[in-house]
Amino acid sequence: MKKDVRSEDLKRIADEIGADAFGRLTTAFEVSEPEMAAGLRRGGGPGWNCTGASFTCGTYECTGVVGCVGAFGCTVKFTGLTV
Amino acid sequence: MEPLGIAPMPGNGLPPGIGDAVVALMLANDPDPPTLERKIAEQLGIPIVDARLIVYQIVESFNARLFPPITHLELIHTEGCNLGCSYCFEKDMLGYRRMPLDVARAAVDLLFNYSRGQPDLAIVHFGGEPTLNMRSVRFVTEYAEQRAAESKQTLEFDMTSNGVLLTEETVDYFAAHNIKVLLSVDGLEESHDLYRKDKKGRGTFTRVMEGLTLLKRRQPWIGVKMTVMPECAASLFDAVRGLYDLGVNQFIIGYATGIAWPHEAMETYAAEMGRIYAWYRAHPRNDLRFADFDKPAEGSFYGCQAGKISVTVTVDGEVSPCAKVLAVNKRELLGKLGDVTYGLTHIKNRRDLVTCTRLKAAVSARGIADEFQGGCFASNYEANGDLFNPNLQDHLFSVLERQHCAGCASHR
Repeated sequence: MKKDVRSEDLKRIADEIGADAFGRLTTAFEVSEPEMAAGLRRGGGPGWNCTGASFTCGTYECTGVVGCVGAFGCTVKFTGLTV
Repeated sequence: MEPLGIAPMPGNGLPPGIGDAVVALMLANDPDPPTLERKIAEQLGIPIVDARLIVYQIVESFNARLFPPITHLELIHTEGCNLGCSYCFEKDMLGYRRMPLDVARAAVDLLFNYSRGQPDLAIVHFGGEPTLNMRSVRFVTEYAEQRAAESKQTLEFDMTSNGVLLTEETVDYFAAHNIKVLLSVDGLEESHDLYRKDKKGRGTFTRVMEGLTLLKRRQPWIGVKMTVMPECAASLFDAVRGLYDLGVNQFIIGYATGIAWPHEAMETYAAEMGRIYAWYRAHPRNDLRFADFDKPAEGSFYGCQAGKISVTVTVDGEVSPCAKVLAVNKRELLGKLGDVTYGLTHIKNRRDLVTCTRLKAAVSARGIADEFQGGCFASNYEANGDLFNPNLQDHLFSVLERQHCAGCASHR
C-alpha cells in the first residue's frame, strides 16, 4: 500500500538524495569537466557567467533591456525611466 | 514529524542506486525524469506524485547550486496570431494551441521557485499574439501578483503585441495591472505595410496606430520594436522621427535576421543608425529613449539572458531559453531546459548557455573575439545550424554599426 507522504518528508528526502547525488556529480565531473567541477565545489553562483563579469547581467538591468524575447533578443524595460 | 518508515540502508541511508540515477539524469543529453521518478517511487514505496515532487526539488536544488536564479519568465500564451507577417521569425512555430491554465500556473510557480528570493522578477506576456489568449494573460497576471505579495517580491509585467486587437477593456486591464505593452511597428505606413500584413494580405499600419492611440490613453510611454528589412533601411531615420511625432517614446531597433543582407544595405542601415544617434544626442528630450544608445560600451558579454536568468515556457509547458530560439526549429526544441513538471532538468544545455564556453571558443577560432561576442543564439542557428557558432553576418553588422554610429559601441 502506498504511503501518504507529507511535504516536510518529501523535502527531507529530496535534500538527502540531492546531497548524495551532488557529491557523486562533482566527482564525475572532476575528470571530464573540471571547470564544472570547480563550480560545483564553489557552490555555483557568480562563477557561472559568460565573461567573468557578474552573472547578474547588470548591463541589461541598468540599460533597459529585459529579456531575450523579440526578433533582436531584447525587449524594453520601462521601470526607472523618466516619463 | 512522523517517520516515513523507509528502512535504513547501508552507507548514507538512501536506497541504493538513487544517487547514481540522479547523476545520470543530470549528465544526460536528453534527460528522462519519469524514469527517475518511477525508480524513487518504487524504492521508497511512495506514490508517483510524491516522487515527482522529490525529483522537482532535487532538480531545483541542483540548479540553485550551479546557476544564477531565474528572474525573468516569458510565456507563450498562444501560438496563434491574427497577422501573417511574411518575415515573422515565428512563422514556422505558429499554430492554434493555447496555454492551459494548469501549465500557466506551473510556469509561474517555476519562476518563483527558481528565483531564490531575488527581489525583482519580471514576466513577459508573449505569443503568437498574446491578446488572443487573454484568459491566460489574466490568470498569470493575477496569480503571479498573489504569489509576489506572499513572497514580498516585486514583479513587472511586459507584453509584446502587434497592437491590432487592443480594446478599451484590454488596455484598461493592462493599466490596472501595470502591464507595459511593447508594440511591433516597423516604420511608417509604407515600410510597415510591406511585411506586417494581416492574413488577407492587407497592411496593418492604420490599425496599429489606432491601437497605439488607444493604448497611449492609459500607457503614456509607448515603446516599439522595429524590425528593419533591407529595402527599408534607407528610410529608417525618417521612420523613427515620424513615429516619434506619432507618440512613440522608446525604440528598440534591429535588422531582420534569417535573411541575407546585401552589403550596401548593411552599410545603409548602419549609417541610418548613426543619423538616429546624432539626432538623439543633439536634441535631448525627456519623452524619448533608445535603450541601446544608453547602454555602456564596456561590460558587454557573451550570450544574453536566455537560459541564464530568463526562460520561456511554451504552450505545453516545455522550457526554452527564449522565444526566438524556440521558434527557429519547429521539430526540435533547441537548447531545451526542461519543463514545468520537473523543472530545469537539462543541466548540460543550461550550462552551455550560461557559460558560453562553446560560443567563446568558436568566436576565438575565427579570430574575431576582440570585436564580437557571439551575437544571438537563435540568429547563429539560423545561419549555421548551431546556437554556438557565430553568425558572421551579425559580426559584420556589429562592426559596421560601430563604425557609423557612436551610440552603437555596445553592439558586439
